[in-house]
Amino acid sequence: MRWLGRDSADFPDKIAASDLALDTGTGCRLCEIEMRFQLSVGLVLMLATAALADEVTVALAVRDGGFEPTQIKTPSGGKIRLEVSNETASAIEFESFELNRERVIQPGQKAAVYLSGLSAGKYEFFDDFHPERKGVLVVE
Amino acid sequence: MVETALIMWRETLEAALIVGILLAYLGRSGHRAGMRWVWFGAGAAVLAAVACGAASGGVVSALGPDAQELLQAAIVFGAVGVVSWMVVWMTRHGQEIRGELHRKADRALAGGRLAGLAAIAFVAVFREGVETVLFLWGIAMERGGSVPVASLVGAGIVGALLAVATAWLFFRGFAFLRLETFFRVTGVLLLLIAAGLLTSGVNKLIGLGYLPPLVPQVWNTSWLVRDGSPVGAILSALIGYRSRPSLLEVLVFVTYVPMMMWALRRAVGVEPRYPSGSRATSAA
Repeated sequence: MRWLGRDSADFPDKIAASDLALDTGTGCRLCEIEMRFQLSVGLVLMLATAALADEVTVALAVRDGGFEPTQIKTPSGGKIRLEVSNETASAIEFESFELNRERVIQPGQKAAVYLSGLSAGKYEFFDDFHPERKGVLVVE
Repeated sequence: MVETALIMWRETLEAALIVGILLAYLGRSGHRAGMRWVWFGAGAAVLAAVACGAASGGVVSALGPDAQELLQAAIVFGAVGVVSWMVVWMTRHGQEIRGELHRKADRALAGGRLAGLAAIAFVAVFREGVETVLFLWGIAMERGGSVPVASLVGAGIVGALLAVATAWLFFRGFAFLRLETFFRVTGVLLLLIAAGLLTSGVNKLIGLGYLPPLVPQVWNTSWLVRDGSPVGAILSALIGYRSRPSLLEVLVFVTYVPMMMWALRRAVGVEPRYPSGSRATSAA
């Protein structure tokens, strides 16, 4: 933890825009500040869009007759937000051994189950409280 | 109907095993008073679970689905904490019993630990209890099935009773063990159950999107033991078995177990706070 005791000059926030080889040459203090601000805003936006673009939301309804739809297709790799809504009158348990997930959902409620980094393949899921309700997630 | 019984058996097994371990431990170390507290905790949990399940339309639903899951995770982590503490305490305590310091051990047990026993039993039963009640409640509310509701609920109760019987048989099987071995075995079992609980809590947080799985599936042992099978259910209750765990869950498990082993070793090494000479007796 030695770095904690160091002078604040060593910290990255003191790095000038010129150090990043992005100096326009004028060298004015205001330009530097503005550029740094733009850089950080740009970075935040980039990360935010990357995170958002990465996340795919898929809706899945549970009805008395079973899951709707019974087959879902998603691309591989990214983050999947599986929105399971229980449209029946009793509690259900969304469960998948293959996805390693289980979630009890009260009647009339909608729960988001997160999945990420799945490789291509078929992943079965079912309602543990009503095992006759089944479905499959196809990752391509 | 068989399916209903099987689901209930699976849901109840873990709680039955934890309560069973506590009762077996207390029974063999001659702590009748402690056993009462375990029953008290378990009984209170059943009532609380029924109340929560019955009020599911109101109180629980008002929380929202994410908050419910977080609450579950918090309960699980709480259980891990209490069980971990209990195992260390039991290990230290086991020596005292061996050292024929029964009376002093009894006093130690009376000093606030009884509430701890009740708390463990409560948490173990409540956790699975809420789910069980929701499941049975759902069956009772559903109409139009081919099988009458009453027989389904009956099948569910039979499943729960079978889980209790399974746990009972499990610990009957330990009856032949010498007292010393028995304490060691139950200690390790409780520790593994706690490790399984911990990973299941982490699994909930991953499902909620709060933690990254790192690698969603490190291995796949479903060819050996399927998750939903009876063996899979017993292993799931005992060590939190999953056929396809994520890397984070594996890491948490392999961090917790050695850490606790180290704590247990330290607990064994700690000189009891009782007169000298007790160690010599206990070493025999």
